[in-house]
Amino acid sequence: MDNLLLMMAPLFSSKLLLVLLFGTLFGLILGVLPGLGPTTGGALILPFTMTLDPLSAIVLLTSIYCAGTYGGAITAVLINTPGTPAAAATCLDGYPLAQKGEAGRALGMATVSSTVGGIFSVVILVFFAPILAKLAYEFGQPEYFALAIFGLTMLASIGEGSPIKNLIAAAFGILISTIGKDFMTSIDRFTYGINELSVGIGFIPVVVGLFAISEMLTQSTLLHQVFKRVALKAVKLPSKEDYKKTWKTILRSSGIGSFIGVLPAEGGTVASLIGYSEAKRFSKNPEEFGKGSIEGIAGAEAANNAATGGAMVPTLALGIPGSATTAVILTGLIIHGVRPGPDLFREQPDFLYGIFGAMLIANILFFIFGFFGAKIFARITLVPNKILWPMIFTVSVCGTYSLSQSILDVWIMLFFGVLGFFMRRFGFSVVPVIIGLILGELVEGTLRQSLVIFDGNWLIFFTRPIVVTFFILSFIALIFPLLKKKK
Amino acid sequence: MNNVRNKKRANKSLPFFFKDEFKVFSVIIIVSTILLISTFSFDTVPPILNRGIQPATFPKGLLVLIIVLTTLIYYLSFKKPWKKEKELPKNFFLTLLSFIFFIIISKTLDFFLAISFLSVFVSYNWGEKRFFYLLLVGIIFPFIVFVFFEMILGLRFPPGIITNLYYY
Amino acid sequence: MKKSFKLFLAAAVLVTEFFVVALPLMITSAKADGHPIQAITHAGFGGGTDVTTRMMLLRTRRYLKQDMQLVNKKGGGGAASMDYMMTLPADGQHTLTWTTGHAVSMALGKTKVKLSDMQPLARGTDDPQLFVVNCKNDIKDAKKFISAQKSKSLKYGTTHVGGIDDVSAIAFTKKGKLTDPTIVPYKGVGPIKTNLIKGDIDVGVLNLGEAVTEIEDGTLCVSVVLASNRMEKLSNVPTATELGIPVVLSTVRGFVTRKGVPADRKKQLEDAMIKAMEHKYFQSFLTDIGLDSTSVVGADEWGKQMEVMLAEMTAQLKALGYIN
Repeated sequence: MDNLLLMMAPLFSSKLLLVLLFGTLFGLILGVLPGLGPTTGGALILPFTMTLDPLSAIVLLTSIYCAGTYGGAITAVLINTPGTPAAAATCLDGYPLAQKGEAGRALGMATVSSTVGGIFSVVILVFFAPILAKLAYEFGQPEYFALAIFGLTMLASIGEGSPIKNLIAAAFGILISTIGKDFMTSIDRFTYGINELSVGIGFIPVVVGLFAISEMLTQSTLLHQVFKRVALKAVKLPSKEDYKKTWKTILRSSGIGSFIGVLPAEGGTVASLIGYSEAKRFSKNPEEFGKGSIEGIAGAEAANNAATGGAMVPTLALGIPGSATTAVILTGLIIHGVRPGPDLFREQPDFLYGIFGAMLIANILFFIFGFFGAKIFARITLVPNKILWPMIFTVSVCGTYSLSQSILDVWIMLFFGVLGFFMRRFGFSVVPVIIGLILGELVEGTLRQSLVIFDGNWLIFFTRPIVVTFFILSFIALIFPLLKKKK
Repeated sequence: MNNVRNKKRANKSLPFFFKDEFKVFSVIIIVSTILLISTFSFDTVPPILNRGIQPATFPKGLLVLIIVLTTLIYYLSFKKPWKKEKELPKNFFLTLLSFIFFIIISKTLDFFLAISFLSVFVSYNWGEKRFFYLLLVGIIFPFIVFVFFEMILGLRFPPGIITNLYYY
Repeated sequence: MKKSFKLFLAAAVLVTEFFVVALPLMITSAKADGHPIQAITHAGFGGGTDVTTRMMLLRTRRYLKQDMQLVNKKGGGGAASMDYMMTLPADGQHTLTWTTGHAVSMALGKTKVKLSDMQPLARGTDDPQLFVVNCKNDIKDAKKFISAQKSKSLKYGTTHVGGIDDVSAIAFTKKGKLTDPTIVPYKGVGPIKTNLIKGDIDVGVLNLGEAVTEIEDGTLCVSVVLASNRMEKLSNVPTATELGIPVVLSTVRGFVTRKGVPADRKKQLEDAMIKAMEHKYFQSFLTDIGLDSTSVVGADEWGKQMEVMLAEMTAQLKALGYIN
C-alpha cells in the first residue's frame, strides 16, 4: 500500500509531471523519426539531466524510453518505415492495413496494445523485479545461443513466399551481420580497407532502406493507379470486435516481451519479432498475416513495449542493462550517484517506486497522445504520394545520417532500398533479412564464445536445462506448421 | 489453368538468358562467388587467440549455403516458372537515376542541395507541377528538418557549399 | 482529398512563418557566440567515451563562451576519427577524444596519423584495469590467483580482443611466467559479469566503474589491480607490481587537437577543459565511476602518458603476433 502511494508521487509533483510531459513528447517525436530513437535521444539529453535532481533525470529518461518505443509504430504503420528498429515487425501488417485505408484502426490498435504491453511490464517490474533479476544470471552464452536458434525458427512461420527463398534471404541477413571487425578475433571481414565499415553495417540503414526506400521505388511503379482513400474510414479507430479478436495476442505478447526484455542485451527488437511470429502461430487466421492483420500489429507492439519494463528489471535490480536504451538510463543513474542493485530496493524505495509510477504515467500519457492523435496522424496517408515520398526521403536520409554522422550509412540505406525493391519483385521477402541481421550476430558470437568456454566440447550444450528447453521449443516450432497443415 | 499455360508459353518464347529466373540466379551466384573468394583474403588469427572457429569459416558456410539454395531454386524454376512481372515504368528508372544524382551531388557539392534536388526531381516527375508544392518539398521541408536536427538535437551535417554558409 | 490539402496548406503557412521569422533570429543568436567547436569522438551513443566527452563539454562550452558540437566519426577503432581531424585546419576549433583504443589503432597501422600530429590538451579519465573474480572462488586472493595459473589456464572474459583488455591478461601471464590465458571475448561488460557469477569464466578484465555494484554487494571481488598504486576504493587489493609482476595498464580518455594550433589558443582550450573537469558535475561523475580527481591532468602529463601508452601497446601487440 505504501508503495502504491509512492508510485503516485509523480502525480502530485508539478515539476515531475512537467518532466514527464516533456519526456513523453520528446520521446514520441524521436520515435517517429526514422533513424532517431530513444537510445539516441537519451544519450543526447543525458548531460542536460545533470541540472535536474536524480529522480527527475531518470523519470525524463524513462519517459523518453517508453514513448519513443511506441512512437516507432506510428511511422511503421503510416509509411512502412520503422521509426525505431523495434517497430520493424509492426510494418508487416500495419502498413498493409493503412494502405487498405484503415490507418486509424491500425494506429489505434498499435496504441492500445503498446499501452497494455507497457503497463503489464511495469506491473511485472513492481512485483517481481528482484526475483526475475536472478533469471539474468542464469543466462550464459550457451543459453543465448539456444534462444537465438529458437528465434531463427520464426523463419518457418514468418514471411510469405517460398521457404527456400526465405532461407536465402535469412542467410544473406546473417552474412550482413558478419561485416566489420569480428569481435572474437579483431579481424576485419568484408571491409575491403574501408575504416568506416569496421564497425559493421548498422541495423537502421538496412531497415530504413529495405522498408522505406524500397517502398518509394515501389510507389514509383504504381503512379498510374489512382487510389481512392476515404478520409472518414482512415480515421476510424478499432472496433469492439477488434479488441475481442486481439486480447489474447496482446496478453501473450506482453508476457513474451517482458521475458525477452529481462534478458540482458535483448531488447524490444527481438521481442517484437518473436511476439509477432507467436501471434501468427496461435492465430485462427494466419493467412491474413502480412496483408493487414490486426493481430499482427497487436502482437508486435505489445511485445516491444512490454520489453521496456522488462529491460528495466536487470537495469535497476542488477545494474546490468537489458537493452540499448537502458544502457543509457544506467549511465544516467550512475552519473547521478544512484547505485542500481538489490540495495536500491531496500534503501531507496521512494526513488524506485517514483520511477515505476513515472513509467506507468508515461504509458498513459503516450496513450492519450497516440489514441487521440491517431485520427490526425492517419491523415498523412491522405497526402498525395508525389509530395509525401520526397518528404519521407528527406527525413529518412537525415535520420540515417545522424545516427553515426556517416554519409556511408546513407549510401548503404539507398543500396538496400534498391536491393529490397528487386527482392520483393522476384518473390523474396525482406523480413528474413531483418531476422538474420538481428540474430546472426548472436548466433555466431554466442556459439563461438560457448565453444571457447567449453574447450570445444559440443556435448556440454545438452547438460544445461535452459539450453535443452529452447532446443525442444525450436523443434516443436519447426514441426508445428507441418502438423497444422495435416489437420 | 488456361492462364498458367499462357504464361508458360510467354516465358518459353524468350531465350533462357532473358528470363527473370536466369538473371536473378546469375547475379546471386556471381556476387556470392566474388564474396566467397574474398573470404580467403581475411587475415589470420594470432596463434595465442586461435581457438575454435576461424573468422572466415562462418561467412564461407553462409555463402556456400546461398549458392546451393540459389541453384536449387533455379532448378525448380524449370518445372514451375516464376510469375512474369510487369515491365518497369519510366518513372521507376527516373527515381533510380535521382538516387545516383543524389550520391554524386552529396559527395561533391552539398548534402542538403542533394536532398533538395532529389525531392524536386522526384516530385516533378511523379506529377507535381505546382510551384508552391515543389518549393515545399524541395526547400521548406528540408530546411525545417535541418533546423530540427541541427539546432534542437545538436547534430552536425557534413560540410558542403550550403551547409558551410551556416558553419563558417 | 480536399480537406487534407487545406490542412496541408495551413501547415505550410505555419512553417513558412517559422522559416521567415523565427529562423533568422535563431541563426543570428547562434552565430553571435561564434562557430561551434567540433568535439570529435569515435564512440557510439551512451558508451564510456561518449559520456566522458559529453560531461567535459557540459561546462567547457560555458567557460570558452563558444558552443561545442559532438561530431561522431566511427570506424577503424578510432582511426577514422583521427583521419577526420587531419582534414581540419590546426586552428583549435576542434578537439578529439583520444583513448587507449586509438593507441591500438595507431600501433596496428590503421592510420598514418602520428602522435607528433597531435597536440595534447587534457586527460579526463584514467581507469586502471582490474582482474575481477567471483567472490565464491578461491582465486579472489591474489596469491592463489597467481598460483592457480602456474599449472592451468584460466578463462579471461574481455571486451573485444586485440585491445587493452586481452593485452592486460596476456601481459600479466607472460611477465609472471604463468600459463597462457584462455581469452573469451565479449561485446560488452554485461555478459562478462553474468558469466562470472554463473561460473562459466574465471576472470573478468574490467574497470572499477563497470563492476562497482557487484563489488559493493559482495558478489564479485577484485584480485589484482594493474595500477601503479593501490586504488582508494580497493585499498586491500594488491597491485600487480607489488606481486612482482610489473604490469601497469589503464583505460585512458583524454583530449587532443591538431598540432600547430597557436599557443594561446591551446592554453585557452586546456584551461577551460581543466576548469570544466574540476567542476562538481564532472567530479561527481568521476566518483561514481570509481575514480577520483587525479584522473584529470593537464597537457604535459597527458602527452607523456600518450607516448607511454602507444609504446606499450605496440610492444604488447607485437608480442601477441598482431604486428609483424
